[in-house]
Amino acid sequence: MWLSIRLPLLPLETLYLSCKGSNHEANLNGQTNHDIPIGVIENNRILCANQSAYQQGIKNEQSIASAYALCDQIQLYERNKPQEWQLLNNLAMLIYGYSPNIAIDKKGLLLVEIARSLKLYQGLDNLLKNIQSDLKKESVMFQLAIGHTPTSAELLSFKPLAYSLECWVYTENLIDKKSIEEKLGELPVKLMALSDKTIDKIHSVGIRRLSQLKALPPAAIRKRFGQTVSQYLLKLYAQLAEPKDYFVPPDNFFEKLEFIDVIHHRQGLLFPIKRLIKNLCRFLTLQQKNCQVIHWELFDSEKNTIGFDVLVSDSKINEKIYIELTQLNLERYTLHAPIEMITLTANKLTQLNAANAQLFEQSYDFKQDTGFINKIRAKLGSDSCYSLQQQTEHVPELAYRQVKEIANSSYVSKSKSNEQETTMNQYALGEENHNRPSWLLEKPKPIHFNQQKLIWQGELTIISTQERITSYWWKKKIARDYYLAEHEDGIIYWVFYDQVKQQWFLHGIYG
Amino acid sequence: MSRSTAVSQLLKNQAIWQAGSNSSSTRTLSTGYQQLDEILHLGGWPQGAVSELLLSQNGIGEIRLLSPLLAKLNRQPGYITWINPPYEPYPPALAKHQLDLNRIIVVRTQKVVDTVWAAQQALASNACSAVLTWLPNNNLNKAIRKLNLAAKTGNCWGFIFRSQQFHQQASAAPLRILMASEQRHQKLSIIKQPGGWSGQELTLKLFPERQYWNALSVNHWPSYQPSSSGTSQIGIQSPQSDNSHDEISLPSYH
Repeated sequence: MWLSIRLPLLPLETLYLSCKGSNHEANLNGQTNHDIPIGVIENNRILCANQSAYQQGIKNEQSIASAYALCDQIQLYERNKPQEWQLLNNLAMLIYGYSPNIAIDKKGLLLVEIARSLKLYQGLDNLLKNIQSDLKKESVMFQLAIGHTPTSAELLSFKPLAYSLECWVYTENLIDKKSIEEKLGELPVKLMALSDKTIDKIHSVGIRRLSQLKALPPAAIRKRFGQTVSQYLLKLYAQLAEPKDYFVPPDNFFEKLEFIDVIHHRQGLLFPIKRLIKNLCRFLTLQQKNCQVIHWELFDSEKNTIGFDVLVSDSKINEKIYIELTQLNLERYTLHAPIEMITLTANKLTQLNAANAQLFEQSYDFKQDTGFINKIRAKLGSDSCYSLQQQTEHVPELAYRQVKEIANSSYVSKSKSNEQETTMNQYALGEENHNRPSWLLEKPKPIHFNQQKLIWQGELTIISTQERITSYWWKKKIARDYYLAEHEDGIIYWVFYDQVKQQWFLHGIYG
Repeated sequence: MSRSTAVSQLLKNQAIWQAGSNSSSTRTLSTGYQQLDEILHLGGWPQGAVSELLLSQNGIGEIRLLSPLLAKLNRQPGYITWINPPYEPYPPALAKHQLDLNRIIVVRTQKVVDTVWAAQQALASNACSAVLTWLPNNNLNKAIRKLNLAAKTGNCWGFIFRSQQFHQQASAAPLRILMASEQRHQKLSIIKQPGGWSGQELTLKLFPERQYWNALSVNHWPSYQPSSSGTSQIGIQSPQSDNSHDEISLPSYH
């Protein structure tokens, strides 16, 4: 039981992706008739064209010259096969949600095995409705058909869906073999995916319809028209197995968009960025994966490349946040030349840690979400945010460290935090029961001693006994006597006398 | 008796102070200092608002003042973000104030616009329980209004630290406290506060341990060299040569 999705305008729709203008987007969503006639050419012949071009008399297989003769404003573009393939893969990714067995045909066709999806979607109608609505959102033209073999589905997709649905037996949830063979028999021979030469050969003996061809003895078909035709017919009527290479979703995400009209300003990049991020999010959702970093590359017409990473380390997939972070990152770059192509890569995917959300939101709890940190980093650089870590070091300025990785403590269970607290208490009560200042100066500031007072923006008086800290005698000797000192304006400072340098320093403030 | 909808809608507005009613929908958390709680009409630091602390000088005791609140908030989920602190927050001291370092984030910015922007992001994120922002000596009344709105969105405790020179200028922060250091205690003057009259003054001993600290007479200081007598009588010999130094520090290290 196969469903075929034929995309007759795929080359043209691929082209729309490359056009930066959001007006195309609007057109695609709205009505199909575009104002400007557009055509796609391959081997100097028209491959397909849009509605307004067809209205002007443009036909497929026309030469470029006659196309221009018929309509002088027509815009012709060369077919972009790699991008077509990418779009096909994207659509396969979308349909992958419905069935794991998808074969991509280079002719612009997706063949989906749906027999095993029927139960989940409670019947064929529901399944088709879902697939149709998903495809509509992608703004592509498509034709659906069902068939008992991949080839029959492919062939029937030249007809409207209702034609093949007539063979569907709703009561038994299967295709009636007899009626589908009848339906196939009515189709003209020329629809078969065979070379023009072979079709001509079949036509030359006066055969127009498949039923006529089927009526011939198989041996005669093989002899007259060759192996390919007989094999095709055997596959069509399920007499020969037809193994397909199924679509396997890639492990990593990589997509690129080339532009026909180059993009001159940042605002113009927004549309393609949104498009790629949408694809990325679909990819991640289907894979149930999460990425930490996405990598953008912009290629401009002077062969320069701008590449930047966007940190998105977050526990959930969120299109809006990804777009926002990308934009913030992009703001830091100046575009020197118009952009021709952008690519988006996401490697290093991790399993999505889907947290269970609470059914009723707790009103006063804050969420553990590093989103704002990502935002600040995206705009102000990754150095702008850090967290602090304590080190087991005796020398005060080495007793802590700035860490860039910020723990997403949502996974820290309650019990652990209690544990931490007790160790912290022990720490506070235990051996190191020294007073430590809340503020530490990055570099100790030398202060003057006039044999009466310490002078630093006023006078300081020592109010505690000394605490000696010595360390690193093997490397660079540190020997300090720390004291609390009270400033005349009432602030308490942490000062030390450096035994090596024989100089007083200010090191901290009890804020 | 039913009030007209316009009036009841007006009463829902938190910004309107109803003299007749004591109850307020603003949630507060105790400051940890009983005297201060008593003079604050809402009984603590307000949530979903920015409180402004005007300091005569950095390091006057502002961390001590906030540490009971921060310790309390730190036990629940939510980050505590420090934006542009004047010095480096020192983890051993923070640990002593029972702050979990995993949930403390320091942000450094170069420009005032960035500082305000970062503060806004943190305040509105709903992922921070408290955001402490040190603002430069600019007139930033508009920015403070923005921050206050962001704090409302994120429903967190926002604090901004500014110089005391701004205490006579208007500010959008609902709670404003001027903090100055007097000999051995800190003087707090409430310039503005939600829920009632302001103008209260209070002295707090933020460093209660100070009573055990006594001035050490200058001749016990290490580098003290009485000009009259050549030898020092105290335990620490100074100045010392580097060689003799190694001999001293080795045993003290073990």
